[in-house]
Amino acid sequence: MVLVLCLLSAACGDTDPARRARRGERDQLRREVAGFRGLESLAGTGLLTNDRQVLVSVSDTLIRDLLDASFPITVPLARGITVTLSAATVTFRGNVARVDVVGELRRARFPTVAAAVSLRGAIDAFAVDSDRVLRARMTVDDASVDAPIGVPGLLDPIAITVLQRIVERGLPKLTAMLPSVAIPVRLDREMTLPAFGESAALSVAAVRAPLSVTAERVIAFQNRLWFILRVDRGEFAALPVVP
Amino acid sequence: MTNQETTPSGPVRAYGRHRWRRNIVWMLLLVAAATGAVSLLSVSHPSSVAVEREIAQLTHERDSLRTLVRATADSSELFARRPAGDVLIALPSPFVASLVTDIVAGWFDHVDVTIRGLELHKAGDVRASIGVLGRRRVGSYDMNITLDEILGRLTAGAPSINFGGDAVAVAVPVRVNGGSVKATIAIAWDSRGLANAICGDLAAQHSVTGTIRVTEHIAIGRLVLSARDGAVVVDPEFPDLAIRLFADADAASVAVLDSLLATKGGLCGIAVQKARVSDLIVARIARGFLIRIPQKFFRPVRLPIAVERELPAGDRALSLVVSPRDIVITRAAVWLAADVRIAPPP
Repeated sequence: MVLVLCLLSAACGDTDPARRARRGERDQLRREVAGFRGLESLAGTGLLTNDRQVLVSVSDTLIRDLLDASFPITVPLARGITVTLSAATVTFRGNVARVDVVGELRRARFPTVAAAVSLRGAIDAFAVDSDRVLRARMTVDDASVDAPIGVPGLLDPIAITVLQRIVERGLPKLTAMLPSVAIPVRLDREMTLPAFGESAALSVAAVRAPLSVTAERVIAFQNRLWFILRVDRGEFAALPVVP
Repeated sequence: MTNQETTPSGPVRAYGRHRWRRNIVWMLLLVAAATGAVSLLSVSHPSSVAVEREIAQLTHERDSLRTLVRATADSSELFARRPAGDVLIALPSPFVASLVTDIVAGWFDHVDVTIRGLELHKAGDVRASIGVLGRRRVGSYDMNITLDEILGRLTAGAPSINFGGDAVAVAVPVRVNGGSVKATIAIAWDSRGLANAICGDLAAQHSVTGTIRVTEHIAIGRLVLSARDGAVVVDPEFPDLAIRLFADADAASVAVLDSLLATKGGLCGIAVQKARVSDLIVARIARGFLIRIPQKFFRPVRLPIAVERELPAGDRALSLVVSPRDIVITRAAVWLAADVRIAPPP
């Protein structure tokens, strides 16, 4: 009966890897076209629109290395299945910050099973956190399970479908457990201009102004992520003189 | 038969085997049926032809948009001479200009100039025509002006900024907004010849006050940008920067000195009057006082954005090896580039 249910559930999904891959490619192209349309609109206005904006750019290789440094990550899912994510690849082009994460799915209890897992998604939700670090999160659009081990070959499609369902249901949990991407750029929250000439003829007091930094826009282009940050400065105020 | 009935295991086993076979058959039928259903339902997924058609159309659109966007980026002044590196920080020239203006306005909003204990010295002979004796040297004076305190206040205007080369050229209007002068004048009069016989020597000391004139200057220099510890550091360079504070002595305070010297009457009075001590003081103070601002007074300013050397990664810290490259200054932006790699664990 379980087998029948599995088969029926398989009917609801597409088990043909080639077809899934082509649909995935189409979805990716849709994102790229939408992304390029967004870039095209910048051609008229220019990338930067005011004198408070700065640009930070990070290469895909560095982002990949930083992500890889956070792996492996093991996430327990339903029915005794754990997913261990081990590596990521990133592609920044056409204004799409695509991320692919690969790993392995394993069920240790009987019936034991293992399979390759790949997550496809994007880097987004960029923000400057309280530690002055520019961060982004990964969102997962799609998961696929392939090459199961421990299942008779005849039952591969069934096993893939069942495991696929479990992984898809666990996507929110997987997404939550994925590491955030910290961009190695420090953004100070204040700017201090030191005092000088305290004991000389000309003396200038030290002043400090608060800064507010926000990530206004992120563009993935030419294998790089480009962050447009807005830096707003408050009023300079003299620092108290330390005796 | 009885035997068969008394030994239930035989027929029951046969029945069980038969039932088991029947179940297998049922199971296979179900598998076949379900597989068929899967195949049928799979056909209901979007047509492969439609997907292929959409892929072809999207690929064409993506390629033409990519060409357009790339051409736009290549012709962008901002990206011209963009350096290579894992991390790039671009400070567009409008941002830098705005920041420099903010810095100048914030830093030099109210700058106090205080000079204390500055000594000025002036000495000379006084010759005067004394009746039938003709023109003679009547004496010499030796004047010390001790500037007890000069207080001035400066403010800066909006700087003009010019990008290019390896630095940012700046010209900052500086306004002297007035101030005050307190000085002590000590004058010694050494009479000579006939005057000596009549006047004798004379020494006087008196406090003089004055005010600093409102004047305007232009401070010309440059901001040298460099990469230090992963950050852009601005070193203000204003070589030979000096501001002259012009002062006007209070007429009343100088007049007191004149009247003190004038207590000597007769020939002595004539001689002292010829010396024009008050004029000397007024003239000297009016020449102003040059305030030199040595380069060492200027401190580097670190801009509030930098390449980080350590990152949080989960519950641990990730050390980074940051290799900064040279700063590139173009007309459109100041670029800081650095190669970054993850340091091997210790």
